Amino acid sequence: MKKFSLLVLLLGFLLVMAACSDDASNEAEGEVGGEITVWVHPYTGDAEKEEEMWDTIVKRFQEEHDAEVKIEVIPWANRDQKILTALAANNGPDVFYAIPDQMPQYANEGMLLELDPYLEDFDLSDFVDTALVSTKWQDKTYGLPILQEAYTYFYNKEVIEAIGEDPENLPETWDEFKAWAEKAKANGFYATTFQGGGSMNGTLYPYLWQAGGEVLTQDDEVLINNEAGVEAFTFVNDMYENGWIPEDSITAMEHDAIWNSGDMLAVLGSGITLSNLQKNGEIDFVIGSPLENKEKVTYGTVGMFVIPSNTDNPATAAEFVKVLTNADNQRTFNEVTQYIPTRESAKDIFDEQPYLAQLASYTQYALPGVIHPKGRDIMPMIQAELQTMMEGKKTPQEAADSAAEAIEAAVSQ
Amino acid sequence: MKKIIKYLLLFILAFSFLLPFLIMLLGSLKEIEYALLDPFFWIPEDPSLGNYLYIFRDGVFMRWIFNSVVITVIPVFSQMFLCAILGYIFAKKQFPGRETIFWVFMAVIMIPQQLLIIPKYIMFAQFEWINTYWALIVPELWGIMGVFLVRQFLQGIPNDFEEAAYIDGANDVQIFFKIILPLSLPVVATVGTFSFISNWNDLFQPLIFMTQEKMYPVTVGLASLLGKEGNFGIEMAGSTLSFIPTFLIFLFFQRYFTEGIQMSGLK
Amino acid sequence: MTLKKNNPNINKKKNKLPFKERFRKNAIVYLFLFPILIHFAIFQVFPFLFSFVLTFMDWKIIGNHEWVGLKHWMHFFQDKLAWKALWNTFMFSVYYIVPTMALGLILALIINSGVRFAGFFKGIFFLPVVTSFVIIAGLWGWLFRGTESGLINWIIGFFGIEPQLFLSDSSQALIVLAGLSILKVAGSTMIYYFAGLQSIPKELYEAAKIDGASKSKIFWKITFPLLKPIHFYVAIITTIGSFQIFDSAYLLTGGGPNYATTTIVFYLYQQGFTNLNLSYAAVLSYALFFIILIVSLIQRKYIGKDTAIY
Repeated sequence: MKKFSLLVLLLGFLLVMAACSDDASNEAEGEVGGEITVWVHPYTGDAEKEEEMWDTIVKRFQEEHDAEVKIEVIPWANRDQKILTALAANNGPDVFYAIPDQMPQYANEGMLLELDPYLEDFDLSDFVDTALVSTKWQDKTYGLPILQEAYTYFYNKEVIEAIGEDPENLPETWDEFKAWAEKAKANGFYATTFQGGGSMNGTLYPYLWQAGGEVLTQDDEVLINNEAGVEAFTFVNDMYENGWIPEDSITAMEHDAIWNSGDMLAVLGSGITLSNLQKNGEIDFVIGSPLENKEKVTYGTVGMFVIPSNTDNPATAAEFVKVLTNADNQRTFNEVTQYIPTRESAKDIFDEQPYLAQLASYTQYALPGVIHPKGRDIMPMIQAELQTMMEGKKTPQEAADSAAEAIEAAVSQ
Repeated sequence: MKKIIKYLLLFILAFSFLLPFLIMLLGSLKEIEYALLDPFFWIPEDPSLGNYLYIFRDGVFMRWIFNSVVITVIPVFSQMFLCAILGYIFAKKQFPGRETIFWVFMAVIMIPQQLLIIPKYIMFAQFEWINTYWALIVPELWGIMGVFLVRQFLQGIPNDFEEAAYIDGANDVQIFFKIILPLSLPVVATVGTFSFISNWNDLFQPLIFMTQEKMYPVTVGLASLLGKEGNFGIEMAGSTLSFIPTFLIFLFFQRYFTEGIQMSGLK
Repeated sequence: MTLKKNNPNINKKKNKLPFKERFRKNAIVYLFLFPILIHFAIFQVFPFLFSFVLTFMDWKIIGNHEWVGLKHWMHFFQDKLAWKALWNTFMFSVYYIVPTMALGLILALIINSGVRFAGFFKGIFFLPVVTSFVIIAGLWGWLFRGTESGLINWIIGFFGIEPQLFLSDSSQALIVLAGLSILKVAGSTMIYYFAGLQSIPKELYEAAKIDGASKSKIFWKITFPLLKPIHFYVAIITTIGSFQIFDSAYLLTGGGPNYATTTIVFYLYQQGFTNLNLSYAAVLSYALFFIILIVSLIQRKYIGKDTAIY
């Protein structure tokens, strides 16, 4: 038995060493050629359409470059684990899809390839500013964005009319919204959604930013419990206590059922919400703008493609990412997936689609989240404080302060 | 009166167990992407097989089923066989270190799978088993759970049978096949049932070890059909399809191996 | 193959048997145990030890790993959230283990008692076991929706009870999750007990009936004790499963409210895959491992000893 353990331990060390990989280099190296593997996800529910889309995009790339591109569709479920496991074994893709929550974290750990050496003669001016912001960490670029979203309020016209308001005159500020919310509640409707069990990006952060606040800066300054922060916490607390958001908002992951049954005035949504509404045709809706308190701002995720630092074909991977996010391909991609392109020139696909054009006009106000390597670490902490507050065990000020404490502790590690 | 209460409780219990299943089955016949507020939203007004058609639409679904069959059937047979033998060994055989070895076997399943997947993946990447069936079959050829169950079952069976057979000159391999195995059919069938269920429904491991659509088993394949928000009807249809083979296997094993086997006739 | 050399008394002292004799008696052990040990060393021991080594390093996904000795272990002992997670896991086990075992046994007894359509009921109780967990969890979450329109709230409304917050209430959430797991697993437990019930000789029941024993006495004096090996099995596997509970918190509550449903595996998943702190996740896994091992050995002491019935 002992011999076995020794053998296994030896095997173990050998494999651990094998799993350690080479350092990432800072120069643009290699030529375009060979083969790369690209991991994408099922962006819509239509696998056939997406396959066609990828074929088109890959063909365009292969017309200009002599390289093979393998597209692999990875389910959304457990994708973090899948990517991390594969990268740890040096067996990952050459290009994969990431969102702004992941990028600074991975970049900070040295997991991503710096793209600046490959972008030297590349014109980035066509890209929307707010989209590019999320691809940079500490002034280095790690990815190129292909899609963007802008979260804003979708209103149920029937409910608007039931509460005696005018669909042509939607709320633009917190005060206007509060007035509508009160009326909704008085008439037996919920005002809006609140997914307390999910990401802060869709719940607290938009209100925090609208109040002029910030969670955490790139220099590790914690601002969540300043005046603006407390104002946001108070707003959420008021919404819960007044019954403007459903009782289970504390841990709910979604409130689709309530919205789809017509019991809610508005829902904070994006392109996907739009597609669902159009597909099902049962709710007469109208899209409003993001709210303004001190600032007009909202959350808008950015989807980007990044390259792991242990790829063995960086040149081809970088070239592919550049081509993938060019105007033509952005048009193709976003026409199918109904997201918003991150290049101004590609936004013309929505000339015929007024709703999407409207959403696209809001991306200028969209922030992609908290760009900080600890951005994901701190979310559960803030969430816990929000939940405690909504359960009535802490005041908004106390909750904000506790959140700040927890964040400071996390950041200083 | 007692009987009425007994049957009433039985029906209430049965209904609570049946409810999620009914929701799943009926919901699969509704082409709807999201759940509604109405408690009875899942009752289809216009039942349609649209979700099923969508899943079968590509030839790829048949390929997924084939993959599921491969990574399930082989481990099931292997486990039934090996767990029976090993269960017998640990129940009836004396040898040095028996208890220690058994508990070392038990110990390794006390570590959460979520962490172990990383060293496993690194190892399989070295073996070049990624995107092959090996990663999902070879480690699953036997499992300590099955061994444990057979061991417990056999502990309840007297040693007389074996003693008699030894006296008659049989060796232990013969004893195993002629005496122990027939006696253990109920528990081996149970091992087979649970092995089938666990391998057929495994989403996590194939998700990590496979990246090519043509290698996905049904679980991963269905997950890859879902857009970011999921799709209620498709998910229900997918689970219903997955559920059918496992339930059939369960019925099969239970009917043919478990019922009516009693100890008394064997002396 | 002659009998004359074999004296039953010699069999008891294994070491004194001639090799041929030992081989005949234990061939099956030699044939099968050694390959299994090798398989085990590769596919189980290696990952296990690898994870253990991780706890002493700052392990990176890509890049250079550093040795840090006991740093992560020290952090674990001071980490309040880790202890809260362990406490949550413990409470979950209290709500889950005994009810699952009891319900499984009750269902097995019902099926075995000759009630009409026993096979049909057996199938129904087993349904949640074969149905995908994601689906059952989703449906359970929908049933226990914390608003007035949730089905359970609607039902208890008939009894004059106010709508409850269930998963949004830090004192109820864990119980609701335990209920979900009980529903999912009771069918399996039923099957194990059912298999066990088949191995109890009918004569014992007949003899007891002839002696005029009541049903309750028969159960507690005959059935229950003879099921001891199965009790042990069910106790161990339910405990292991209980301490590793993860999916329901991940799917339904995100670990809240206020960490009320953050179980230890949920916490280690967050640490490892969301915070990229894999070494610390390994430490948490090992802490969990030690706890499960100790609990299992305790269970072994009280219900696991070999029963010599005959």
